[in-house]
Amino acid sequence: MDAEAILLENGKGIHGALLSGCVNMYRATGINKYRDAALNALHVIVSSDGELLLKDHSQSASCGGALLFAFEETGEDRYKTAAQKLRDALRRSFLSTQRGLYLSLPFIAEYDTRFGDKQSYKEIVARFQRMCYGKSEDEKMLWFRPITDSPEDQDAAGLQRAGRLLAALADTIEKMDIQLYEHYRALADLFLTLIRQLLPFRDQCSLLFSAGIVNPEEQADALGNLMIVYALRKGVRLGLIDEEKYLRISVEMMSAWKERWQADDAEKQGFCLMIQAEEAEGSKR
Amino acid sequence: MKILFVSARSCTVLMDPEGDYHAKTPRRLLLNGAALRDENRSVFSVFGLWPDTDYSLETWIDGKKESGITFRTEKEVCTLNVKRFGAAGDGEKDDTNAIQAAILSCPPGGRVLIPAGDYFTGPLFLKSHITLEFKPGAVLYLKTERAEFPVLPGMTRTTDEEGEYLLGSWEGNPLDSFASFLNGIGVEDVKIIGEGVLDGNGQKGDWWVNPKIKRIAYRPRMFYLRDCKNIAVQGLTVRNSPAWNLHPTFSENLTFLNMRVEAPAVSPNTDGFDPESCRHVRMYGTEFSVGDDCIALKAGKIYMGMKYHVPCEDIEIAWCRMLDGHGGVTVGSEMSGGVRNVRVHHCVMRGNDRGLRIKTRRGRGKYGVVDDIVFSDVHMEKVKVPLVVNAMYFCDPDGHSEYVQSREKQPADDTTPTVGSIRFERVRAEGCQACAAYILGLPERPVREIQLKDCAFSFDPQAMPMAPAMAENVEKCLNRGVIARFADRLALENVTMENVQGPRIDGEYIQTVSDQ
Repeated sequence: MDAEAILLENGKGIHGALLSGCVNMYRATGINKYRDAALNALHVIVSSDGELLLKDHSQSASCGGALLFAFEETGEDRYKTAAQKLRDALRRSFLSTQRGLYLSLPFIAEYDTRFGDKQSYKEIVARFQRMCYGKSEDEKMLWFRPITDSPEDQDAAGLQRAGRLLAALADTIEKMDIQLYEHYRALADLFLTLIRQLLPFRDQCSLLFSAGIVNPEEQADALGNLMIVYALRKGVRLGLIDEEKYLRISVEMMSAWKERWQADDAEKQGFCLMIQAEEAEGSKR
Repeated sequence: MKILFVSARSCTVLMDPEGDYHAKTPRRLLLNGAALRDENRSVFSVFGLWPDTDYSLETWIDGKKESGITFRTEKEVCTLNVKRFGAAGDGEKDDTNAIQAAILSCPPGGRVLIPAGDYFTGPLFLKSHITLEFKPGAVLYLKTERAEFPVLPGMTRTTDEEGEYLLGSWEGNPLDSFASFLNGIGVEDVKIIGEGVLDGNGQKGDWWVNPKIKRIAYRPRMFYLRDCKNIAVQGLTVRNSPAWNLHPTFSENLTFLNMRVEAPAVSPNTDGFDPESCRHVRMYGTEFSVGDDCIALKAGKIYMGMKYHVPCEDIEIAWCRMLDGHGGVTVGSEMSGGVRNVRVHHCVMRGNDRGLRIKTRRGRGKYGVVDDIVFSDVHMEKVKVPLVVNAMYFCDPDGHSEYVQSREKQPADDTTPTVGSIRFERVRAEGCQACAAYILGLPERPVREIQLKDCAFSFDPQAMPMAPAMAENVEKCLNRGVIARFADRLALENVTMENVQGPRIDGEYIQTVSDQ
């Protein structure tokens, strides 16, 4: 693993999932190659005065957590400055796509927990709840349908939207201060509710989910299933869902996934790393 | 004279209801006609009695009998001495298992006896229908390595995932906490008596280092009761707690008598007594000298308040002495289930930062109603501010935020707490510093009523200016009267203020003010 694998277009873009995967793997295992890959990639995309040299918002949002990691590891102010600028930009206008929200909310939670007064927790909870429930109780299970007209959201498979949401929820919960328990608990309850709504749609033969979730005849989706495995593993480790019941499901899914697919692009590689990191963290307990 | 409590081996008596911690006049005690001792406390206990036996107790003043009373001790099935279970009491061997085995083996109506000795132990768990007695000279020392403590998980989902089972608690939230020195989970009818000592060893180990950070779990207390009823604690000394001292939660019919609760002034968060969402609680004849509030009445933070809204109510605190400590009797800041019907009387407070202290803030919720709090016949010496009501207390990670601290009217909604009626009657406070009272309500939900009647305040001529309340933008002051912001009614009747500087009442946004 090296920085070149993480960078896109000579540093104008970045594989956010792969970057996050490296950060998580280093935190879980202490293996330096992951730390070095992440820091070397960030060194390219963050200027000396803390400007994030990426061309689009989604890319920027996907770096947030890694910027804080870089500041933690190196003490260099440019990373904190970049994180602060990103936070301010996101605060001014939360990203308008569903995908953008899922990328940015965990970082906003982490930043505000570490450097802010945690004022954003209430808004973060409200955003997640609005995404899942729409305007009324009758509009439940909206969460795997696109809620914006953006091509990014419309083109993604329902399972991928579900996976991003669950992963974002778990990542956000992990970064929150549990002592603001009402907000932490609201998201924890939401996470459990969504998992319980999703699982009945798992195909009992393939042990995986179809791309659209509700239609089992549809083809299974590689990336979407990987995201669900990650969310389940993380949910178990954080104590959000019962280990006895849900760990087995995640192991079955991962095993079935490996029989069918390979991590043949950066995003899948990134999620595979994040899953490995969760396994390593879980084995420490 | 009135019998307050009887066990198989002891009793507690109210000797002088008009005294405070000390009786107005010392008495000589006679037990069954024989001289027992001279006693100068209003509430006292007698130990070393025999089960199922009639006793007579008399008080004498200046060679003349003043009063007498008879009582019968309770029956006792048997006594289990922890040394027979293998406890060494030598201060070195780990006696946890031996003491725990004795407790678990004790039959209903039996007594677990801890004789004199130094016992090194971890957390212990109580069982229903027993008495636990600590003989004079029995000192239990709590372990200091946190890795050796069991954890009480804060929240566990029910198997059907529809509900939750709450166990551990920290500062008003269901969070993972280390098991405390003595734990009662769902137990009833337990008496913990004696003249022994529980030493939490807080000054050893790392409990008081970075105290607010969760390391594995949150800090243990000396007593933790959850869902208990009919519990009495008599006579013990507890000291050097890792965190709060006595912490009963969601429990009822609790009696605490003649205890001593001690922690160094610099020890962090060593509140003396924190009943949380409890009802029918009596605290009599106890002395506190701790590193935080002596007594703090609590009812959880907003999650617990909104979901369960179990108030702390019917609380009586009398004939106690509160020395030093931040507050003599505090309400909050965790009060989201409400705190009401509180009577504090015949107590003495000395050297506290604040006498009665109400702490709340936006975000505590609609069930967070503090009401019907009465202080009467209380003597305060060198208490810097006798009465503080602070609805903008800067606690919790967002405590300094604009949301909590704004003096502008905010929407009154489900997150807004309420302060109702607070009364001081026959309170005498000498050596005050900042002011007699500081009231800071919320503009959108003013404090309903503050009444001071037949009270006397005098100020310390050597005092230095200080901020009377812990909120943003509270200016330091010195020897001021009543300073009030955002209240519906402020009524003073027969209140004297000696050496006060400035007006007796400095009020803004107060609907009705009277000063007779």
